[in-house]
Parts: sequence; C-alpha cells; structure tokens
Amino acid sequence: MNVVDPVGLSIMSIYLLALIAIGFASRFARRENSLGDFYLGGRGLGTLVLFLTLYATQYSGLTLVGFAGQAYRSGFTFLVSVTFACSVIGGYVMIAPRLRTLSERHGFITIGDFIQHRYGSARLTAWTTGVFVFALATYVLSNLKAAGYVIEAASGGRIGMAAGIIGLSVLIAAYETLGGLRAVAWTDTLQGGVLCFGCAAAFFTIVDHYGWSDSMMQLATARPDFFAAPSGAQQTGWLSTLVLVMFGVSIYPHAVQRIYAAVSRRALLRSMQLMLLMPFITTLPMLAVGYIGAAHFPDLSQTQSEQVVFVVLGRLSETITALGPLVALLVCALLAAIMSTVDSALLAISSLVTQDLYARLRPGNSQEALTRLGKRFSWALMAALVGLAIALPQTLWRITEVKLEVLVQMAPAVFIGLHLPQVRARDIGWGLVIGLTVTLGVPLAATLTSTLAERPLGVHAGVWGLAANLGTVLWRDAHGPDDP
Amino acid sequence: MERKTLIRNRNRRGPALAYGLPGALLLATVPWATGAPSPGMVGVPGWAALSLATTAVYALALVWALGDRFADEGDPAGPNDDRDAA
Repeated sequence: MNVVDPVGLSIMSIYLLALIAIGFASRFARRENSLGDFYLGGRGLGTLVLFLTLYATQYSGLTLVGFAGQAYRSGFTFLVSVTFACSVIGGYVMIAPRLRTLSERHGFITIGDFIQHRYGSARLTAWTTGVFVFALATYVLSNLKAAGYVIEAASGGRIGMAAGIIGLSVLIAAYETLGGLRAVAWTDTLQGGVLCFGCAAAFFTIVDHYGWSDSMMQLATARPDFFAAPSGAQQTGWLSTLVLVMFGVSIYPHAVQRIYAAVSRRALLRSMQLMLLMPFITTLPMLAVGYIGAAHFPDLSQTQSEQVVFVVLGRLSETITALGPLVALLVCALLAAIMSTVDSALLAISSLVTQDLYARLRPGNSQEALTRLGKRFSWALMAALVGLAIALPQTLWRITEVKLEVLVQMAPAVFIGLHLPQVRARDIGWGLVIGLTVTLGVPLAATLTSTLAERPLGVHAGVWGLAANLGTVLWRDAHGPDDP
Repeated sequence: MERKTLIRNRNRRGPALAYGLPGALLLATVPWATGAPSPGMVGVPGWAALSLATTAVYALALVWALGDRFADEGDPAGPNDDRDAA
C-alpha cells in the first residue's frame, strides 16, 4: 500500500516546512526571555488560537488512528468514545474556572505551582510532578508510535517506522525550542485547521464512494456482532473508562497550561464551549470510517486494523487518481494530530522539570538560565523517548490506558484541592501512595497469579486505585490528626 | 488562613459536581435501559443512536454549565478583556 503520490508528497513537505516557518515567526514575537513567556506564550492566547490549540492537543494520533481501529474491532459499542470526549469538558467545568482565577492572582506557570500554593509542601509537589512527568512521557511515547504507523503506512513502507519517528521528533523539538508555547499554539492553529478539514474531507469522500447505507447492510452480514447491544460487562467498562477520561484527561498538565495561558476568562470560556462540538465532527466521522472499513475489509489483523483509515483510503486512491491531494491532506491531518499532542506534552514536561523540580531545588537561577535549561532538557528527553518509542512493543490502546490510570491518581489533589479547603498535604500524599499502589499492584498481581483479573469486576485498576485514593483522603480528613 | 480565603466558593462545589459526573453517568447507562437492539436509525442500531442523541444533550448542558461556573468566579471577561477584544 502506498497512499501518497508525488503531488501528495509535495503537499506534505510544504506543510512540514510551514511548521518550521511558524516556529521562527513565534521566536521573533517573543516579548521577554522568561518562563512565563516561553511556557505560557506571554499569557496572550485569544479565543481562536486557544480553541484550536486545545483541540489539536486533546485530539491526538490515537483519536484518528487508534479510535478508528478500535471501532473496527469493537463495533457500535465504541460510539461511546464520543461521550468520553465530551466528558473531558465535564472535568473542565469543575476545575477550569477556579484554576483560572487562582492563576491570575498568583502567576502560576505549571500545575505544580497550584499544588505548591494550595498545599505548601515541596515534597508533595515533587511527588506529583514525578507522576505527571511519567504520565506525559507515556503519552508522548504512544503518539510517537502512532506517528511511526502513519508514516510507514502512508509511504508504503519506503520510510520505516523508526526513520519516521526520528524525523518528526527533530522537527517538533526544533519549532518548540524556537518559540515555546507561542510556537506550539500557532502551529496548533494550523494543525487544528488541517485536522478538522482533513477529517471532514476524508469522511465525506469515503461515505460518498462506499455509501453509508450500503456499507451498513454489508456490515450486518459480515459482522452481525457489531449491532448487538452492549453487555453489562461492557457498560461497566464504559463507566470505568468514563471516570478515567473525565478526571484524567482534564488535568493533563498541558491542558492546565492553556487554562493559564488564555488572554482572558471569556476567551477560555468560549474556547471550551467550542470544544464541545469537536467530538461530533472529529471523533464520530473517524469511527464511521472504522465501521465502513469493517464492512468492506472484514478480515484485517489487529495490526492492520490500527491502519484501517489508510486501508480504506489506499484502496480508493488506486481507482481514483485525483484523490492524491486529499489523501495527502489526511496524512497531514494525522501527523498534525500527533505532532500537536507531542509538542504540547513535551513542553509541559519541560516546564514541570524546570519550574517545579530544578528551580525549587536550586533557587536563584535567572529566568533566562531556566528557559535555556528547559530547551536543552526538551531535546534530551525527546531523544530518550524516541529510543523507547522505537523499542517498546505494546499496542497503542494499552499504553493510553496505563498512562491515564496513573494520571488519574492526581485528580484528588486538583479537584479536592480546589473545592475542599480543609484537606491537607499529608491526606493527599497518603491517598496518592495508596492509589498508585492499587493501580500498579493489581495488574502486577494479575500477571503473577491467575486468581486476580487485570480489571477486577470489569473496572480498571486505576479506577479502583482512585476509589482507594479518594477514600484515604476523605478518611484521613475526617479522622486524621489535626495540624500542629 | 490564606488557603481558606482563596477558596471562597465552597457552597458552590455541589453544583460543579452535579453538572459533570451524573450527566456523564446517565449517558453511559441509557443504552442499558434501552435493552436489546431495536430497529436502526440511518443504519445504526437504535440503542447507539439514542446514546449519541443523549450525548448531544449532555454537550449542550455543559455549554451552559461552563458559562455558569465562569460567572460564579466573577467578571467573565477578566482583567485582560481589552486584549481579548483586540
């Protein structure tokens, strides 16, 4: 399969060069050489840029590559992923307005700044920063792997997975270190536009060619299991995933950075309201492509199914040569989704390590020195993650779940921290320890013994961990010793 | 004391939770209530179409809830409104 023709390759090259040009433009727009300017774009993101950067960041390569593949394998029950995407905004409803107000008053740069301000414990801040960095690094890994799939599939195997990952990583690290969040947000604006338009164009083209009704009739014959109502066990899994997504994705450090970086509360409000449209015009069409793929290509292996979007488009481009530019546009859209997620996560890790670990451990450094350190750290981290992404043999979906299950253990620190003033650092710290122990202990025990399921009663270990975490915090709050 | 004065909307945390979680839980359980597969809409099983429709209602509710929560925090325009308008 080789879905990108020479014309398409030219379009992709222009697109990638444009990202570097934007990186340089953002470098010249810098107002001062400070952490606030580098990591928050001078706190000047308006409604459109903020919306598109939130959108491009939240809708990762997994949304396009992984979700279509999961829809191909799971059937209509996976339509619930539209609900999952909406529930992230449900999480924002609970935290964004308060966090925004506090950040205006206290000049927060990272989510660690809020933790430090709220609980006044350097130890808790360091612990939570470690958890955030782990979760984000896993996030980058899964997206780099998705990038490898896209490039390998799009080039018909001429560009290998490893070469694709390395090339894109260098590009991302380059424009990110040129302009920080300003570069990331501006490139996200382009990437978000390409992503939205590419998804819509691909969806309408595929539906126009294959026909939705015909495909569904064919699907009913080929895969009748797709139409069965979800079982109780599946619905338990839904609820479990819903908790993970709502309380995990909404506290991603790069999402919180955008809450701080908005030029005003009104811009933030409008951006988040616009975000509620996107599950219906991005996630849903990609799921539909997965279902059409299942109707017409019912015998794909698991690995092939993760590339189902390209399988469908590849077959189309063999018969309709004029589709070349459109196919290239979709490849650009997929790369855009991946790159915008990776650059945001990478920038967030850099800020967490620089601001919450290094600057607190070694105070007295100038803003310029810290910014320079953050840029160097980004390159070093990217190199390490590229190596891991090439070597790590796991499926995309499983990596996502591991990341979210760990990340969601931070939810009590943020959600409770914002709404219950009496809860203390020690309560949160003990909850975190218990939650992480359960989250990591359950799958470990399931691997070592055959008596425990990896998801007891169909619920993710991370959700059990969150319940234990929350219970510990609330119990200690009610019965623990008073502050001296 | 600083901590307590910063978090001034304690009595509003209930509504904040009410907007998000129960709505999402309701969505996930609707297909359960609908039971077995029903005649499809546009080729999609009935339970799936109903679930999507409920999700759309949830999304609209969240549009309102966001505005309400930001209004609780004071002037929704914030101190940089002039820059936003520009």
